Amino acid sequence: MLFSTALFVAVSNSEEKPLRKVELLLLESHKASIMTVGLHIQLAPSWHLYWINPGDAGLAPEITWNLPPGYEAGPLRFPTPEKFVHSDIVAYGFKSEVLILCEIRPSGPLTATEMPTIACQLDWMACQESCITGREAIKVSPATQTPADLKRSRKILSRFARRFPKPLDTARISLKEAGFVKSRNGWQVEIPLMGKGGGLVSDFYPYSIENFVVAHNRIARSGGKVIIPLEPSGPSAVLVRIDGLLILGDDAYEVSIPVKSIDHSS
Amino acid sequence: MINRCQRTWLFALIAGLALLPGVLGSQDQPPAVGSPAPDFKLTCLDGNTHSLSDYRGKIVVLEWTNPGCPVVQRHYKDGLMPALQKECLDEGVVWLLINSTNPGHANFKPAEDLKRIYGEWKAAFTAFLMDPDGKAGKALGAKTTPHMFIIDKEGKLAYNGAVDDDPQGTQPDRMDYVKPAVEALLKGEPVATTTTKPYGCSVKYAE
Repeated sequence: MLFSTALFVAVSNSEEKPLRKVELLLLESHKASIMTVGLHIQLAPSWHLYWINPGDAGLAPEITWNLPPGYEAGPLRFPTPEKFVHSDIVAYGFKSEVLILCEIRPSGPLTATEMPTIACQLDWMACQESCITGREAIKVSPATQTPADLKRSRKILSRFARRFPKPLDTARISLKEAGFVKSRNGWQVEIPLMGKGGGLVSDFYPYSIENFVVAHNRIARSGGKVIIPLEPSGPSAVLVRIDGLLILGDDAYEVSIPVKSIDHSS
Repeated sequence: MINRCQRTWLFALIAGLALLPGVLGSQDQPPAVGSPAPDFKLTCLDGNTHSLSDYRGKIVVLEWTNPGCPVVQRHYKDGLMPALQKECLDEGVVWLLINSTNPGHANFKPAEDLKRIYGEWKAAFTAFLMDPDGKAGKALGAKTTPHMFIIDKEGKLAYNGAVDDDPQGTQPDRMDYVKPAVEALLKGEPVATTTTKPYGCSVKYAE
């Protein structure tokens, strides 16, 4: 069984509120097992919300799931963000609307046959000239879905279909191993770009790197490589992998690249 | 009229130019941990001037702030920042609040308002400094409010980053970064965590 539906929970049409509408959509379900849900957020004009890595400033949306016993949530999938730059401060985020996907699946054998209600708490920061933070509680109950809900959810998902990062193998780019080197300007990761698509890479949006701080305003391409300057949190910090999005024009490709480990304490 | 191949090369050229160092983003770099912190001379809320170099020989905590930022508001209303400030001041540490909000921004507040707001928040500090042109903030690389810097007794940058590891204020076991760094410096020991990613609102610099 495959269906899609939506439950509208929190609405505000006030111009003063940055989040005009927050809803949890049930996008896909296979009986009582795996479900794909989408957190759909519509923003008032001029406001933006942040990506999973907000960049130099801002806060990523934080989602705390409230799931029935026997279910667990997978990682969040964000669409490709826009890059905002102001006074050397780089942020990644979304204007207008965003759909954040998550797979909810059983953590073990299930006895129930009916799909349970999925609920979550969203902690958010939205900014225009100034910033506002807030919290929303939202849920979706499969038992209450209607054909109209199904149609509307499919329409929203299709609107975002092209906005999610693609797998790298469709980009005609080959990536093997990144280097972690110390230049005269400090530590940096160098990602060699090989293949026909390598010359088309226009940017790199990194995911957050534990124990390292990226200088987003100095991410650059030079000599067939993407250069990502970063600073370790301390002498014990080790970098083994860098994850993020390679940007080629309007397209983004998700990459996870092993980093050749070099002892940077010496 | 250009053909598909030419278009591809043209796009590649534009993409490459956009990513050349100095074309995309600035190459101005803030000081690295362990290097001298750039000096500044700023006016305090009471009209006096303070330089970072005035405090050579002391440990100095710099806290970038903006009372219009909800993350700053949370840290004060939860009492986390005032408690940290008091603990540091009690140890003889200098604590300087710095506001780099440009006067044209909606979050800009005059001195009297700042005195009242931070008084109500029970903030404890050595001086509250105004940096309306953002020069001090940009020289140090202040990006968020709050953003914390710790300067050691020799005037070198010893810590650059967040106040803790709890951006949303939802973690029951938050890790404070500033206090351990100050304690290590007071003992003459190396700081274990010297750099973290600051979080909060962007500093409201003028363009």
